Amino acid sequence: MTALIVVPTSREAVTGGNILVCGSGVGVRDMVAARVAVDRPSVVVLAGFCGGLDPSIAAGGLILVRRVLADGQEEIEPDLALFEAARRALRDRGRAFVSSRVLTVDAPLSTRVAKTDLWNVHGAGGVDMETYWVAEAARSQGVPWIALRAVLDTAHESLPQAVRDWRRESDEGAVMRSAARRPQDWAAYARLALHMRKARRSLKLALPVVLHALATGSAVESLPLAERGGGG
Amino acid sequence: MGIPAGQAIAVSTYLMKQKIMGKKRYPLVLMLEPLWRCNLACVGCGKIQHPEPILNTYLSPQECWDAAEECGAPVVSIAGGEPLVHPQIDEIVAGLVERKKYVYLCTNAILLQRWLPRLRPSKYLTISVHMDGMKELHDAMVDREGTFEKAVDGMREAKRLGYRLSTNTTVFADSSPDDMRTLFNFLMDDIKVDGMMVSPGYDYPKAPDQSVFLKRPQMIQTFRKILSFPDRKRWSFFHTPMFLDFLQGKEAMQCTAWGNPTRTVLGWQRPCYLMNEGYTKTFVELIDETEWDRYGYGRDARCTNCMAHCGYEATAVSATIASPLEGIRAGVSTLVSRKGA
Repeated sequence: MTALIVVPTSREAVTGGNILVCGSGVGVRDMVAARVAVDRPSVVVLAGFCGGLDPSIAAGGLILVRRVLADGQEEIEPDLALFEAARRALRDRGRAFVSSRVLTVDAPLSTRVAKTDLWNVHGAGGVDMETYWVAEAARSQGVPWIALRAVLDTAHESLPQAVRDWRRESDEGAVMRSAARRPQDWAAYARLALHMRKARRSLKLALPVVLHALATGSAVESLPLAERGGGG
Repeated sequence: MGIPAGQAIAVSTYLMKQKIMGKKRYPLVLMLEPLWRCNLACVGCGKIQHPEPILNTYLSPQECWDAAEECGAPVVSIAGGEPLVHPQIDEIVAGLVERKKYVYLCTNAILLQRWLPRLRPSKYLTISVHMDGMKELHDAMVDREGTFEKAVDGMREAKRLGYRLSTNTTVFADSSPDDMRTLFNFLMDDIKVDGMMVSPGYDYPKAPDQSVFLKRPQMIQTFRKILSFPDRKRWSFFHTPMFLDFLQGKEAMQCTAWGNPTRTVLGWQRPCYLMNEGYTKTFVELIDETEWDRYGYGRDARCTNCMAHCGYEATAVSATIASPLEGIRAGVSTLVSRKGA
């Protein structure tokens, strides 16, 4: 089995035989599509961060993506056999996680009120800007995918102004300058930095477990999720 | 009057104790179903579709008391089925009150007047009458003419005898905000109930009429309208302000399925009061061996349209206790409703 893992930075990556690594961020759909076309991996594993919509998930909490949705798009499910293998492996290794839907949006979701509204409408545990597009890139080429997201900002937290204004990766300098000019947001940045550590740690602990489970995926048994109905 | 101060203090003390003991999952309300037999067949009910031998099975008083002790929750809600069909319901209630459990005896009140002389008013006992609307709507939802009048007579008699009285209203697709406004005004002003409970109907797959259920966005809109009437200030709810905010979509919450564990005639029902994936023999087994993180809004399709108080009030209570501001708000809300009553 060859896995293409898609991660935000090399710090979240796992290395080893049969593991290919791809960065994420702006243009991730095209990047992943190109890598899948060239490398033909057996599976695409997306691991990254997200904002929390489910209020019961704390910072660093892990979401194993059960479905991904985006505005105006058809919902996509991961391969159920792989999903179930990952779910069982995480559970058996005692890793705290929830299996939930994730919503992909076009811009960072800034306020607590906006998060509550989206939670009420979609029931997605987390919100990010890429899972849907990575899943779509893999699915369109017939490659199964699976996604793990660690919560960075919880459902109860609003993002600092500069992050709310952020649109593209190339804006990073502007984001930094804007942040420096707003001391009232510094505490929020410090909190986000702490959350980042927790989230990164969650991913680093979970990703090898999932990869190992996928590598031994032939042992996957029946698919109880299908019996329970996939919607929701 | 709102929730009695004694009950509020007992519940708060219990919650603090659980937190100090570092318990991750603990019950708040035991949902006790000593029988599933009912004398009604409500259109939105998914509880009574069992084979006859199971409908003929009743928990004994001792089994009920053991369940209360095993679970340890400070509040016990006796549901069913219709609890007043149980021939020993007075004994069951007396034993729970003796154990200082705050008991909510949930009933459709058809048999209430027959039982009132055999129960005993107590600060621990609240008679909670199922009221889905004024006469026409209520009788339609319970699928029997005359039930509203019987329930009203029973409630008046309960008040006359000094019982604490509350109502439990399920909001369905046919419950217009204006209907609910009329009902709540009637219950507060005419019957003079001590408090009311309200919850959206859960879309039981087994319920006879699936068209009665609201989807989550509709529920939120309906509750926004109901709770924005100016009369709202006079309505006393046995709910935390946070739960009422949640019903209006102002507060994000996840279900606390273990908050209201359910003891039935077949054992402890997994995972919650509304969904049934089998039974465990013991409460400990239920708590320790259920994969709780699989359930909840966004996690299980069956939870998509559930905003019921048996899942979310426990979340609201925990959040209220954890937040000093919410605690003050809940306290003020209780005092204001007391003053208004």
